[in-house]
Amino acid sequence: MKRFSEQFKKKSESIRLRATERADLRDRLVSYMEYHPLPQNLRTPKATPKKRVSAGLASEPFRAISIHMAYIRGFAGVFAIFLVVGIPFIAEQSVPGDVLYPVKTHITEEVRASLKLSPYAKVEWETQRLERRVAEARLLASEGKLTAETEAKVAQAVKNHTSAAQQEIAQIRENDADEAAIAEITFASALEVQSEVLEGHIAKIAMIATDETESQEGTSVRALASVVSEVAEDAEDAQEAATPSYEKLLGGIEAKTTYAYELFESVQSVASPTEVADIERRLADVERKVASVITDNETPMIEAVVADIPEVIVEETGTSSEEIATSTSEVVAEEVPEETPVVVSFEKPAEKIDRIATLRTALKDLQKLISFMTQIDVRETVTVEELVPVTLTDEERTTAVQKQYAQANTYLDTIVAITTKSNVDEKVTFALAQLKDTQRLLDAAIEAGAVTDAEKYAAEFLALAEDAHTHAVTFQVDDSVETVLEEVATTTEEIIEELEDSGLETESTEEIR
Amino acid sequence: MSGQGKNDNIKGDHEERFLKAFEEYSDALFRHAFLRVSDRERAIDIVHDTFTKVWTYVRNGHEVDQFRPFLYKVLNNLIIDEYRKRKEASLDAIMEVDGIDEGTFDELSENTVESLAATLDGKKAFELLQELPDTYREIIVLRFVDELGPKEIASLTEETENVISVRLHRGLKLLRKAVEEKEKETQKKRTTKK
Repeated sequence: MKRFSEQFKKKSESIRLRATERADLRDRLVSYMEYHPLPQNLRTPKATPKKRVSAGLASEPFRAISIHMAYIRGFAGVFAIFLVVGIPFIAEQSVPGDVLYPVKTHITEEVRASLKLSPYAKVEWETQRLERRVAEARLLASEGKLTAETEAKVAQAVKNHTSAAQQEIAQIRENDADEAAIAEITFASALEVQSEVLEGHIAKIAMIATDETESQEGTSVRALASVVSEVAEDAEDAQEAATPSYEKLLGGIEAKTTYAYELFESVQSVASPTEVADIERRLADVERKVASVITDNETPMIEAVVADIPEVIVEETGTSSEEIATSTSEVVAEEVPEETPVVVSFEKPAEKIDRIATLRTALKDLQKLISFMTQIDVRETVTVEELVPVTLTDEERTTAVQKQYAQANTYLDTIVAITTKSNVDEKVTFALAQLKDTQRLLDAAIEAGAVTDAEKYAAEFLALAEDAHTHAVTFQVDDSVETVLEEVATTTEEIIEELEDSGLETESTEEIR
Repeated sequence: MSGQGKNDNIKGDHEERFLKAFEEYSDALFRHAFLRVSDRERAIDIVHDTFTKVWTYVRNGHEVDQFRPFLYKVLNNLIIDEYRKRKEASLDAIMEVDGIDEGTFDELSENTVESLAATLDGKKAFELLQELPDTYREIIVLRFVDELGPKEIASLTEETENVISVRLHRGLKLLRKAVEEKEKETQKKRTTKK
């Protein structure tokens, strides 16, 4: 039966209206319907309410709008995507007080924080968040919208992020003390940068606000600045307490250097030529520091290996020997000026501490440079010089020393000239003797090529010479009033000029230290 | 009124339903008509007339709940009209054959219809459908082409279900006979050719 009916049916289905026949039939039917339309009373009960709606009666409270399900679904999809992607994207631009600001701080940033797997990355992220908070505060301040309330909130956020970062660092320390130390150094320098930035901002505001004595309501970041600097100081102290091992430090520096150079490449097209030159100089400084440390390190190590094996063990036993080293370095520091030959076994850990200190500054400088390059707002408020002062090369230092030396010599000549002309004070004679001593030391230092010592003596020498010179000149003025008066006048002018010059020199040498 | 646009007419609820019925059933109705009258043009005309009649019925204010049985009813009446016009004599003859007896028990059972159908080759039977008298053809087409149930067919043709069963049974028997004869003929042709 089934087979029969199926076959039968199938066969019958070959009989059907052709498309043209069908269309034709339909047309005939439709035209028939048109010529024989429904009477008025039967007209489409469904169409009637439609017409009423389109007529737009004033009393119609609701209007039925049919929306296709597909549209609703599509719209829902787009809306969901907007919620997930769009809102966080827009929220990135928000500042404290905006509607979307909580989305930024509590959702986007928390999600990103949870995506950071290693504690080190977490510390970096907390640092970044802190930087973002400061940047937001500054943005608000520059627009004059920073209220005391928001400032307090930002300060609180800064504190929170700091403690979060410190917690992470503590966690790192449990496993790897060296890594923790490096993280601490990085964190401290980032904070330092932020502190500098805020101070720069305050200075800027102060410059603008000097003429108009308007209240600094909404523009002051003083409270925040004090919080940040406080935090920065704490971090700095913590950083100094932690001592990373030489190798780890070197590794950290290498990683940062690569990153810094990458950044430098990308920044080059944007930054001004002077900025580029400045950054390049700083990077070169860092590299030189590292290179000098490496060469210093290699030679004694080899010597140690050749000379005495137990010594090497002492050197490599890590923290305990380093603890000794802190005390020995003090001893060494006292001993060095007297130029006593230091016992070799003592000198090594001391040198190591020095090297680590150098590396530490190198790492800090690098971190600051990276902050400088990555954050536009940092670049706007602070110059490179403020963050990372130039480190002079040995040659530059020597020339600086020689300049000071020459300067001091001219003073000395004048003093000598004065003393030969007239009677002088005892003080001057005493100073003169001291000057001679220092000069001898300085000469020796220059000859030996000990740049640091030479710098120290040169500065000392110059300061002494200056003092003596002023004293001698005043004394001379008292002594013979009329004849030398004019002459003196000219010389004092020169002296003032010279003083200004030397003043600058001494400043820069101080910064180097 | 006639000046109104096409769309205005089609927009309405009644018009919409009516045209939907046309889309749905025009093919089946045409097939039925074609199998009954064996004339394509006539079949199309009959389908057209069916729809216009139904439309007039709607215009007169009648509500049509289900178009399908109603359309079949109208179509069937029109086909009968067509037969009347064409060959009145034969119709009488058919009427005579019909209703003479109520059929045997065998013929009344749906099962026997099935077993009878099982012995038939559907394709061949379909080809020989035109050789059947319309009384049987109508029922077979309604049953196997339009796939209506015995009850529906009964109400459509205004006969009892028994009559329908008997006609179906006999129709199939006739078909089988026709198929067998056809096979004999072809065999004969083959043997004579040889």
